[in-house]
Amino acid sequence: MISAAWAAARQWFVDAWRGWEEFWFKPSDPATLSLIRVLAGAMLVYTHLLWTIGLDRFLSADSMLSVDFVRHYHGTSWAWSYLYYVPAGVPLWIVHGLGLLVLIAFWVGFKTRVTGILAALITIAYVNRVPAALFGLDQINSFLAMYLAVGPSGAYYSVDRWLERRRTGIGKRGPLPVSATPGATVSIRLIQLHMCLVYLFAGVGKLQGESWWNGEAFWGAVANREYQTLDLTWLASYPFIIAALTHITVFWEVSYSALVWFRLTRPFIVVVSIPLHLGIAFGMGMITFGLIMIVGNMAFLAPSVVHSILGRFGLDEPARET
Amino acid sequence: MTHADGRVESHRFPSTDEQWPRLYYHRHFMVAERVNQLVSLPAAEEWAVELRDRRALVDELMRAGHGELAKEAEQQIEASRAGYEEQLMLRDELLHGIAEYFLRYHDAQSIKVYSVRHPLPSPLDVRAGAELDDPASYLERLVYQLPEVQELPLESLEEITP
Repeated sequence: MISAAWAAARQWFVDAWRGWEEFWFKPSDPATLSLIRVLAGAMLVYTHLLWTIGLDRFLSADSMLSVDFVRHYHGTSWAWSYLYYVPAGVPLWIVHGLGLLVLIAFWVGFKTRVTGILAALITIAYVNRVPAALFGLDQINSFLAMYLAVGPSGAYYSVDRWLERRRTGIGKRGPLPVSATPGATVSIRLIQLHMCLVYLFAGVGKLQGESWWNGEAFWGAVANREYQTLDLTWLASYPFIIAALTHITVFWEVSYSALVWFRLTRPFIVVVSIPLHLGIAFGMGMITFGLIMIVGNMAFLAPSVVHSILGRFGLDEPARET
Repeated sequence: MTHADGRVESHRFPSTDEQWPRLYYHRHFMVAERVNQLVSLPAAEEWAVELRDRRALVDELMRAGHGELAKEAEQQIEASRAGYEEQLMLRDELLHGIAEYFLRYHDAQSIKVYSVRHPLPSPLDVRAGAELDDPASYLERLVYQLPEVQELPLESLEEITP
């Protein structure tokens, strides 16, 4: 009986380890990762392009966020940024311009293995320089940039692939195998888990506020003039709708990290993210944040779904994984 | 801001009129939110009263023979005091940075920085006809000025006029 129990326990550990290995390292098609690179890369370029307007105001040595303030704000020397050391004026413009070129290169998938790492470092350097001006967009940008640098995010839909076709003499529509790799799996899993953490902490954080329990919280978004882009104040006459939207939001966020992993509930959970984040984007004026959250949710799209969707628009590539 | 020729001008951030596109506006929005957090710290007198009350608790614990608890409470007081002073330093550095930057940007001689609070109206207020951008709903408070003055009337509240 003891040996049977021991055998069962041993088998449980073997199965658990096998499951762990499969979860993290089973080779997968990098199509999803590549699509996220294109979309998140575009957001990185846009985010940093906008810093061009506020280069002097936010990022220079003479900005309203002084380097001393920023260092004290962080309270640690680990919040590194090369921007602390760049003098204002022409040097900053040059460094900023070079950074934009790297981000554009990563976005279009040129020398992706190198530009991916540089893009992640650039993103982190910028967010560390301007802590008082950050919001959710920057947090999502940062971890997407880091995880995209881990795997082969330039395998598809990239200049690298186009160059590879030219180098091998295979035409635009010819077959060019793409290897399924463990690196793609690791990258996607990191994004998926981080999205789960984001929603879990957001949901649990909301539960500490009374207005999320009594159904009034959604009104806070509606009534904030400084956030508002769509006038939804007519909802004042429909408290039931406000309460329903409040409770749906917090239920969805708290349950996301559990329900997104089951095949039956995943489509519902991922699809609900679209109207929720589009609502944030166009109702509260946080278009960039709303869109990047939808991009993050795409980590739960199977590569076959990505191929299918892009194929309908003639944007997919004929080669499949080997 | 007051210029050398006596001209006075006023700007606000965030402002959809002055900061575009939306992401650029939102960057200013976040800085304004941070300012609001930091200027919402308890005033020095209020903080002194709180520290005094907490120290009285420590004394009481000592008298009751709870030396360990008193020591723990003392450590918490010290941590709170250090945290409060750190937040004050951050507040002053941020406000100074903002004031100095805009003084230079607008080539002005002096500048006053106001923090504007805008409490949200309730659904009942809106149903009764309240407008979200009602000028009376904005509460303005002077929080910094350059050149610096010795005493800053942080307690004063003035209604902003559009």
